[in-house]
Amino acid sequence: MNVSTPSYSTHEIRYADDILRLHEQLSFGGLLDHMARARPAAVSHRHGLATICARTEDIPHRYLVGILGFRLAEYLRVGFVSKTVVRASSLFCEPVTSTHRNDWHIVTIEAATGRIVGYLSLSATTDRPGVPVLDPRRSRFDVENVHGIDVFRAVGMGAGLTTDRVVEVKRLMHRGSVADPVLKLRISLELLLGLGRVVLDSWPQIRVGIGDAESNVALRHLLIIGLDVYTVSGTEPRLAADELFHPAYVVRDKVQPFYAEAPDVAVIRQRYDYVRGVAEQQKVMAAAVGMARELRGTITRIDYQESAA
Amino acid sequence: MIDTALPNIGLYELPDDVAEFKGTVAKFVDTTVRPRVSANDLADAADFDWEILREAHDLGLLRAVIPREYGGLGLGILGVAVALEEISSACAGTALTIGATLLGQAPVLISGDPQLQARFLPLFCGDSPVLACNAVTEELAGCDLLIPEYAAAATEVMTARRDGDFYLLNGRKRFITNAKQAVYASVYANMEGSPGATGLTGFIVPLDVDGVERGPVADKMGYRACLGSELTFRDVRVPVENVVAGEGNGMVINIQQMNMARATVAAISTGVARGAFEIARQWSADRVQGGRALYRHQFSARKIAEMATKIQAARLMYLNAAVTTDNEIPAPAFESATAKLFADRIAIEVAEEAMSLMGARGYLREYGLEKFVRDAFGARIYEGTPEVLALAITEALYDDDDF
Amino acid sequence: MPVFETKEQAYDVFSRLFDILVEDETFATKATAQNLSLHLVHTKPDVELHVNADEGVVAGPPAQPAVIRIKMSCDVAHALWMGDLLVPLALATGRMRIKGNIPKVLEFVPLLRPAFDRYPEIAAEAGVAG
Repeated sequence: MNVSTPSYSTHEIRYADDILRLHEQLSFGGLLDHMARARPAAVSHRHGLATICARTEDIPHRYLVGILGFRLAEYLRVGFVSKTVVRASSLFCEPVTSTHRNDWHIVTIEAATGRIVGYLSLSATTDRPGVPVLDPRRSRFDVENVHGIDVFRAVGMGAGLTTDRVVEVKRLMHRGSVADPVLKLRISLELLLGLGRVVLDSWPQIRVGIGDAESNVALRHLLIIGLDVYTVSGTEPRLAADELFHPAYVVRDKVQPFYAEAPDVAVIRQRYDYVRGVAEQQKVMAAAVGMARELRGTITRIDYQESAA
Repeated sequence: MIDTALPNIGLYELPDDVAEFKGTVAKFVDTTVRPRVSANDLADAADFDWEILREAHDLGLLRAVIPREYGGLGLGILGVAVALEEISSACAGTALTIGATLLGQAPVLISGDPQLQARFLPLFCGDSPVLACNAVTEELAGCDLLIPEYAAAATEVMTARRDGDFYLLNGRKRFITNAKQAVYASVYANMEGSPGATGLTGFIVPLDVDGVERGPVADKMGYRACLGSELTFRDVRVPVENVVAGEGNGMVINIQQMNMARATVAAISTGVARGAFEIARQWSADRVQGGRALYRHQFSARKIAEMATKIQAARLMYLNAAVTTDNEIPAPAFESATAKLFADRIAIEVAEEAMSLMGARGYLREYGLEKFVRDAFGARIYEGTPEVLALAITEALYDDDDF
Repeated sequence: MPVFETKEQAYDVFSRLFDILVEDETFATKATAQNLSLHLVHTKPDVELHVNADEGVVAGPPAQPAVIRIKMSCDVAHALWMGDLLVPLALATGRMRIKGNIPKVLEFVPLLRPAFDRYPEIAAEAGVAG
């Protein structure tokens, strides 16, 4: 397991600690009120958690900054971003310029305190609509740039698919200070339900999700909602040392690109209702165990070197 | 009938975002501030109305001048000034709670230090209202710390000593608005062994650290909705990253801060004058003596005309100062000091004249005017007394603009 | 002893500096998009020039007021471009004065990066003492 941890100067560590402390003090319950007024269908409430599904363009700038701040803080906490870059660039949030107006943000907030406790992003292409994924001139998704591959060709998929039907599933994260395993599970379920809601509400716009993940973390979330996932092994992800997310590919165990297709809309609805039923349970842990058995997805492993040959 | 609350007069058409903000704040004043003014004025000195602050914060009043990239409104001094006129037309104390927070934000903004800005400015952009404060005045050093030539004479001034990657701060600051509730203070201390203006250094000090003690709240004559107290620092460790613009630059930063803020204080005084005037104006329309309304008597008409004229002039001066501040770096000394000098003076004159129009009723709490008379004296104390302002103005007049 | 001996020397250095900026794609694109124009007034020796994306660098004041006007002595300018003096301190002490909409000014400052990198070399070539 590659766990070489970058070393940082005292000042870099202090700056990072200050940013973490800053975000510990911030809550954004006002975003719930705003969305409840502006787009009530975008907010769902359950067991003290409220989840918003909104595109970048629908989120007021102040709250977007708050969300991107949460993203940076949690990645700082787990060592996925470079403290050197964070300090040198005076960051307190991920750069707003890194988001696209059509990106989806699924944000779970603790209703009583307004604190963000979970987050998931679905990043959109920067291409204009209608560009085939197999067009060599199309824009690359971040996972492709990092791993140096064309995900669609690697898994042998993509015929008839355009980039505007693809989202990159990224930044699945929980607030680090949440220790209660039941609460963590509930947050995961809300994020997955958010994902389902976005796909259903925009149907048939989103057909494929790609990204990269460690097998024992984010991929698990996709499998427990029954998705059939292709993973690509044998890639060499790398980011330059002066890139913000360089450590994410240094400190983590094997990170592999994945590809998953959305099933038929009737299947999605059925699974959505099932997962919602689980989330509504008081004894959610036991219900989730049943769900994992019921909705178990599959993994098809592709070796990149073989597929490229 | 002329609406003396209307700032779009003559030379200045407010930019759309500022005009919209002004309208939002005016509504907030009518629905939230005015109904609570009397209760807050009569409350115990240490009581603080967080409800008003929460709503003010929701409107963006505590982050109005913070750039948008940090989650603020990015409105500039003009936006803050027109908002504070609105608020102080009902309650100067509420306006100053907001203004004093701006004062605490100012050194961070002026520093041009992006890391300092990233660490402190986003604090104001979450759900909860967050206050800042500015700590300059000491027991034995008031104006001595505002006038560079006098700073060498300042005795027993708060000190700072470098200790590795930290500074140790020791001393006591007095008469600080928001010290009781602020999350951080901009603090000015002299480097040990460097008395005088050249040694003054600005620091951003979080107030939840060891060694900081918040003193009791002062029982003030006016501005009772805001809390003024003191801060004592005993070996308070402040990281080197919290110095504003380097050691020894505290005086220039402090002066810049005042130049930036004075237009907003002039707006507060204008609002106080306007608040007093509006009560007297209505009274003068309702009160009938000698068979006609008071304002139809020549002596009273003269008073009302003078009051309205002074408010118009004060407003134009603060608008000019605010626009100049938003379009010049460093913030201008002359426009902001003259605006404050004039507005502070006319606030007292207008409030006094309003009381003379109302007679006995002006002296009773229930009519609301006596609060404006008490409040009118406040602004001539903070952010530069008339004497300090006179020095700043003449300094600017005789500045040979030499580079 | 001033850093620049003659106004010709000062104009040579500062005009070449801003020529570099005008040719920088990022600067040119942003300057055009935001209609940015700059009026530089230096003293001791007295040198004035204005810059915009259309005309490039032109000696003297602009016909219409520029969006951003900066005034400072040549010595202060030299110290700033060499990195020996920080902009916020120069502004706070009044050694540098800027007139213009502040948000626009703040957006403008990062665009000067390419010039900062080249200034020492340009100054040395012009015979300006370090």
